[in-house]
Amino acid sequence: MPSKQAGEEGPRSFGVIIARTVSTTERPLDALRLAKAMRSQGRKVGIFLVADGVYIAKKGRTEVAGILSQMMADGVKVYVSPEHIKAAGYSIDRLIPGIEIAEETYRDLVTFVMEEYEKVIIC
Amino acid sequence: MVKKDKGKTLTIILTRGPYISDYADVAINTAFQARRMGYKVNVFLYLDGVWCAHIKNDKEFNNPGEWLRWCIKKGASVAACHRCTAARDLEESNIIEGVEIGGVYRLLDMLKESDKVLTFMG
Repeated sequence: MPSKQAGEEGPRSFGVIIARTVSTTERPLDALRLAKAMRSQGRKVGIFLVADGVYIAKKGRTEVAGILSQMMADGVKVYVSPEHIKAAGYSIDRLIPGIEIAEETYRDLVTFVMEEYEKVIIC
Repeated sequence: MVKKDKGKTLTIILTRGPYISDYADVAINTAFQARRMGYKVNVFLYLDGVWCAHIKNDKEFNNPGEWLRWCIKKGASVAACHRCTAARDLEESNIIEGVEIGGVYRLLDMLKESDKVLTFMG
């Protein structure tokens, strides 16, 4: 659970778009650690997985699957792009439980950026 | 069709070229969708991102150049860094019509008017 209330400084809500996977770079893990820290300060946090980022949404005994599951248990929303899952060639029954599938990838992504989260980063 | 003006501006900075990662595809599709939804949209092509403006012909596969043309047609402002284009021998005659070649002051203008900025880089 979040240990503190959102501070007066910094964004009240924080979104992360992940477009890369952990087999090629540390960036997704770094972004998740940052998002986790934001959540621990009581901020609203959301994650949107697109492109190669959808690979980290797969079930399994991986570090990243464990972090995502824990973050969702702490109230973080995680969305995934259906068209990129299809392109990656795996079925939705292999997603980590709790991850929400976007209805329309780019419409939902724009709403995520423009309306739902105050600050959004991409990795 | 572009929906009613939402009164907010999104600026997208793209530093990666096409066909090397999904960044160009995701960046330009996001710009296009945001414009369709009624947001004011700026796209600044920087470093290898300027190559997206060089894709003028049709392709049988993903075509970020075509999507960039759609963005311009829908009213997005698209600019390419002056120095980055010059370094790659890109000029108005060999890039997509409607892409403005501008300096970083143009980027500053875009940033100043933005509600949100997305930077696709690295």
